[in-house]
Amino acid sequence: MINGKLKNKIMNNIKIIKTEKDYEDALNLIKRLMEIDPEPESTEGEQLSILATLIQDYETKTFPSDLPDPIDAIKFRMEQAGLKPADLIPYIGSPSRVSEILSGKRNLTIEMIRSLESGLGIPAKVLIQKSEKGVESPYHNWDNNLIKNMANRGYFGDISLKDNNIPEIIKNFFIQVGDPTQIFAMLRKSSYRSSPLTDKNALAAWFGCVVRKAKKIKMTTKYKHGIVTLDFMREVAKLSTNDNGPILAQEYLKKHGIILVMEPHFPKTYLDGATIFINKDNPIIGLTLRLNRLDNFWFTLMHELGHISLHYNQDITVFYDEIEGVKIPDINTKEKDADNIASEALVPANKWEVSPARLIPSSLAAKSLAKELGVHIAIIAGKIRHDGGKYIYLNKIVNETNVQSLFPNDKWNK
Amino acid sequence: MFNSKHYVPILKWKRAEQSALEILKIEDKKLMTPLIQFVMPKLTTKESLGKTDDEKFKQIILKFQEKIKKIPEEIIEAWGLTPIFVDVSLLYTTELKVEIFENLVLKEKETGIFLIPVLHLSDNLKIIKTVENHKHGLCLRLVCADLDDLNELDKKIKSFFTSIRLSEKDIDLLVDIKDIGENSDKFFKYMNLSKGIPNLLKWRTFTFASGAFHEDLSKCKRDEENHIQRFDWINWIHQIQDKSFPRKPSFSDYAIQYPIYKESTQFFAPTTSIKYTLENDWFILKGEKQKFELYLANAKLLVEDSRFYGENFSNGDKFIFERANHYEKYIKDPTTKGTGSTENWLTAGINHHLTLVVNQISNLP
Repeated sequence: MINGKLKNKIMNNIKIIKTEKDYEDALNLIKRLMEIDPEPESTEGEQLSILATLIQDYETKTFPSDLPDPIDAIKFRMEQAGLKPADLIPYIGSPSRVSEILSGKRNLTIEMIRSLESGLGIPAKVLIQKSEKGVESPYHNWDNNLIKNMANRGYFGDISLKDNNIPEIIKNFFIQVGDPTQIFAMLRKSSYRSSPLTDKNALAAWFGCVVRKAKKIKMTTKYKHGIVTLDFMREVAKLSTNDNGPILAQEYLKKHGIILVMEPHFPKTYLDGATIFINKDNPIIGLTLRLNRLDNFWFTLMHELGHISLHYNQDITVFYDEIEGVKIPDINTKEKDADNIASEALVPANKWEVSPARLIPSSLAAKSLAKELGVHIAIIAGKIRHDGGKYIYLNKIVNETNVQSLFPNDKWNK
Repeated sequence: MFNSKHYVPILKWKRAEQSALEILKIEDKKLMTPLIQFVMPKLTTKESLGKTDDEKFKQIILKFQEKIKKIPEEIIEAWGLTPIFVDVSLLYTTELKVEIFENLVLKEKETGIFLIPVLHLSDNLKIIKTVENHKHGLCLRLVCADLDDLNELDKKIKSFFTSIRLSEKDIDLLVDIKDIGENSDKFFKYMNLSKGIPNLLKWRTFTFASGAFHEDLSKCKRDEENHIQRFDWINWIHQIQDKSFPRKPSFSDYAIQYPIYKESTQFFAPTTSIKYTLENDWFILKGEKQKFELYLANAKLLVEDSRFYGENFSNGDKFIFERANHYEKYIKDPTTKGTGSTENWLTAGINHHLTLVVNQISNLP
């Protein structure tokens, strides 16, 4: 047990390390604490942990490259001594724990540091550092094609990819959107209705561009929560009967404080649209027009409006929606709710139930119901195809309008 | 009897066709003389069970013979006592053809029905002799092969007249080239050849028949608006404007059916499609086999469409309108039934067609 005097002395000496002397004092304290071998949950154990963190921070700032990475150090020692991962079990714990440590998925505990120092002779100073393995910065390991694609779209301005550090370029790109640390923390908590094959970095890049575009739009109206109702959505849907319906919808939403921007999707994503609540005064809807069809445009728009209607002021800031042609194992309740309200806004269930269009995939049936509901025929055609799984029908109607061409200022994928 | 502003629909003598005639409005009936073709009945599964082909054949003959006596009654019910052409060419045997003509002629006196037997140049003499001196005259039905060699036709017609005791003035001439599909050349070729028919102006009437309706609806797509051009009508309209033609023919078609009768088709369930005649084309609202609710759904679409002629246009239209109104009730509760059978829908389609053609013809200048 540690005596009361020593305990008080240690407590009085734990402080932020600012100078070389503070650092030396902290090292001495940690040495004394390690000698008494406290339980991790005890007060002394906690003090040891606090000191380790303070020392680690100071070392990172002061001599960042002098010490090897702790995992590299362990692996080096293993190689020297001809050890296998199983030989680390006495110092680290179970085989799975050894594996997690060596792959960088888990940080070393004080207890492990102590064992490794005493057992294998690896200095605690080295082991106490934060490993970069497995917890790399969000700017690393981006797909080269994605980077090239971003550059081609002008995301990086005139900066040449050859002469610059890619992670730095990516970081700078996100700085234009906001605090990158906060953005990536937020993106980790986003709602992803996406294929397991989707490249999340590509979604992040797309998000960055959408927000940048949205920031350039001058908004004079603040969004008032509660205005996006089923009736509001139906009013928007009625704009579809106009040749420039998507443009009219963009203008209509702007008047109500909602920003609608288009940005093509990236390869390795199947993104149709997203709702972004980064600025609560002006929610952003981003659409990719990936399928370049009117029915897809209107359904995705309604789905995103559904998120605004139902999920504003909740814990999720970004909803990514890969809606059509993507096999997603488990669609959550929020997504189902947004689907339902979108469907109800475009084609009310009570009308659909008794419409011949439910039974007959014909242009006449689509035309008849479209006329009754006051929406574009492509919306009904899309419903017939989707609900009946009859994708071979009504191709002509759904492909008749080139939606992308309504937004000529955006660079569309060829 | 009639001039070019008259209609001769060619119909098989089956229940749907009979009903279509029966529900025609009286004023429309006056502008047409149907040509009915008797067809052999089909055996039910029970009737044909365990029988050889020969036995089945005999059974079919027997079944038709049993029906023969009822035919005058059916004609009265469906058509009344005004003239009607009766054609026996689709029956299996000469004996049967003779038997039915004999029976009908006999009943004619008794019932007052007005029959005009239809003969072909290729008919067996026994058949011709049965009606050689028919009191209401005859109809001579020429086919493409008859017109291909006009010299030969001349000889055959002369020979024909030696077999009967009537002359051209007692005989309605019907040139029937059957299927033309989209082949207008065929129509005009035989129309031109008709100019060479001996004594064309002397025949009691002159009618030119063809059919453009497709053999089946396989070319119609489920997701598109399907239209089949009525080239029989379009070509006829074009032809009667030709003033150089010695005699304007009356119009004749096969309503909403393929002109060539194939017995095998009656064993296959048709799709539940609506065939609706418009001015120059047939509007096909395609259904699916055995999906009878699609009749109602398509009827609703048709009734809501500007091309629908209205419930008062014909009894066929009235039926379509009523079924369309039943759609919503049925779709909510299919136990209410009332989709209409294939026969009902064929009746409605034919009735609408006949009414429309009569209107078209009567509105000609």
